[in-house]
Amino acid sequence: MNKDNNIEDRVRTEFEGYRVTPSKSLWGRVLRKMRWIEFLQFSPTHLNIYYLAALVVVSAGIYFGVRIHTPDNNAHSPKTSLELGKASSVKSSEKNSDIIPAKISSEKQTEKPDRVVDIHKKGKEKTTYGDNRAEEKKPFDTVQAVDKTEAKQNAGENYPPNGIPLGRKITETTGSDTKTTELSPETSPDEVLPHVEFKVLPKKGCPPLQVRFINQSENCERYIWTIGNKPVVFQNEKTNYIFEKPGTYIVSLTGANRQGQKDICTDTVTVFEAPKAEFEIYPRHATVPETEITFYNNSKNATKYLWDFGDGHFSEEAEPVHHYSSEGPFNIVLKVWSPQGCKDTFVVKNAFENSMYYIRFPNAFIPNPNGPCDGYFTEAPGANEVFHPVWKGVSEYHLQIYNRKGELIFTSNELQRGWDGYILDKMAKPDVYIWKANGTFSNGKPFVRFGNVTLIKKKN
Amino acid sequence: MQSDENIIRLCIKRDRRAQKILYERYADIFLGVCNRYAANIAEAEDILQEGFIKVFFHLQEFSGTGSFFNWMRRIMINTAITYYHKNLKYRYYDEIESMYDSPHTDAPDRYDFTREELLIVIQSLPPGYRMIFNLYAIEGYKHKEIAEMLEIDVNTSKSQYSRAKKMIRRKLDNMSRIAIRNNEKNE
Repeated sequence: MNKDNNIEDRVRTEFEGYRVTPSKSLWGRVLRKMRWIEFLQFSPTHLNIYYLAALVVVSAGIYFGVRIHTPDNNAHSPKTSLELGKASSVKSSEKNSDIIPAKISSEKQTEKPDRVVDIHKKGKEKTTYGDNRAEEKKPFDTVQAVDKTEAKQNAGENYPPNGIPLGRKITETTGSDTKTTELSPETSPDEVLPHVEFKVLPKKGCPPLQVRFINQSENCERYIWTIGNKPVVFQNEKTNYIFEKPGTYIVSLTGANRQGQKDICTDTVTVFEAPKAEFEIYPRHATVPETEITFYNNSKNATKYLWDFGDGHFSEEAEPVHHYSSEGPFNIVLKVWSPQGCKDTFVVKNAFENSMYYIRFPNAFIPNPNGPCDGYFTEAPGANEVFHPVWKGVSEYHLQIYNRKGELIFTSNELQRGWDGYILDKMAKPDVYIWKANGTFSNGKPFVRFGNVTLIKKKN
Repeated sequence: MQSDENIIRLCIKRDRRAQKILYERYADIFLGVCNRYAANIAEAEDILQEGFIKVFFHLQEFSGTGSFFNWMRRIMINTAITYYHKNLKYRYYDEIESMYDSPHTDAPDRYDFTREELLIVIQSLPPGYRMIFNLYAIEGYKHKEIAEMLEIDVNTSKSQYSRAKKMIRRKLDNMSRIAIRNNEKNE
């Protein structure tokens, strides 16, 4: 179980000072985003949205301020200006800006004729229709003098219904014109239909099955992989995937070209059921070579077996019986194969090691109800009145027993003296008690054992 | 080579050259950090980008008392957490499968994993597991701190951490099995 504790340390040391070179475009991305944020933030030192907005407002103000006046020149000739507007609107949007005020003027006249007339009276400019240029300068002043706010109001009211739709039409048409011109180079060249194809290597196998998908598609820009209906994102062209569980998986690849045309290809991956190797040694704590050992095979989904008893002997039986000819320890290995040829291995390391040095404790005992015996016991078969270990080759020994509250109730430094189940001449209540034993074997190896023991009261 | 303090002072004044120097000095090491928190390198670069922007705009808040590196690192980690929260709803999350226990009882012979392989395993974890594993195992935060950062329960942090570890172990185990099998084939 070393492996468990190592994961954190391993990862920590492995990623200490871990560096990855970023792609070259990243600094550009950072810079661009930073400029954008700076642009949105207010700061007196550089151009930002507030300055720009202010600039737009000011320029718009000036623009409209100038524009509002042109209407008055055309005021007398709504008809011609409208006609002119229609004609010019088709030509270009630039000229259109000239038309808008012209339209306003016509509106103005219909709505508030008095005022317009007034203006013109003041300006003294009721002259020929077509000749606007010559009279342009004077009305400019007069309108401003008469009513600036009025003009603005009119502008606000009248622009939308008349001026803008006209203008929009043009921009729209020009917009669509540019669109079509943009679109045509995309659609017109030879349409390359996507062709999706991939290979699976291998198509079936034992779990964990590592599969490589080889994408052989053509004319595709984007790909979507799914495995068992779940989308999978492969990293950096590495199309390796590990299947952990047995089953049949449908793998699909959808590819799309730039125009969004798609093609799909599916395949299956079969992961076989894995066998599971497991065995038991009977008798569990036998001493070899005295005892003949039976191996109980608890393997699952296996049809072929290979035993390695660790002493140079092998067997292909399902449940072999083996007679060791020397002392342990032995590493016993069982290899099993499933019908599909999947393999699993089960190892018991250092079996029968304990035949030289061991110490083992029972998990229950029944104290003698007649009274304490100071923990001394006899090795009579079936005797279980004293809690004590069985051992071989133990040189030092220390036993502690605690109750459930964690109070120390018994200690012993003698292997021959166990716990009789009495505390100060009174039998302890039937319960679970916790014990801990440590010491050294006669080969110098220290040991620590702990566990719990159930005190059972004898029925009278 | 200019000292960090100098560069920082210039960066606060929005000096582009200084900003670039700072970026070039730390981009690779912090991309290494971000890479652990991301599912792939593209995500890691996204996090790094956001992180650097945060650093540049909040540089004046750096007190100058602690380590500048740790301050930046903290920002990167916080950015990764923000990124995780932002993308949580788009992610496929498979908790039940992750509970699946490997049927194998015996551990295969020790196989030495490369950093590359460890990274693949970390990146392939569900995002929640990946966050907690990084924060706890590598960054060394306490479960209580992680719970606050990720806005989850302390016990969730603990249990997800142990599941993440289990999952990593299983994935590494699978990798070593495959490696051993491939070796056997080659022999």
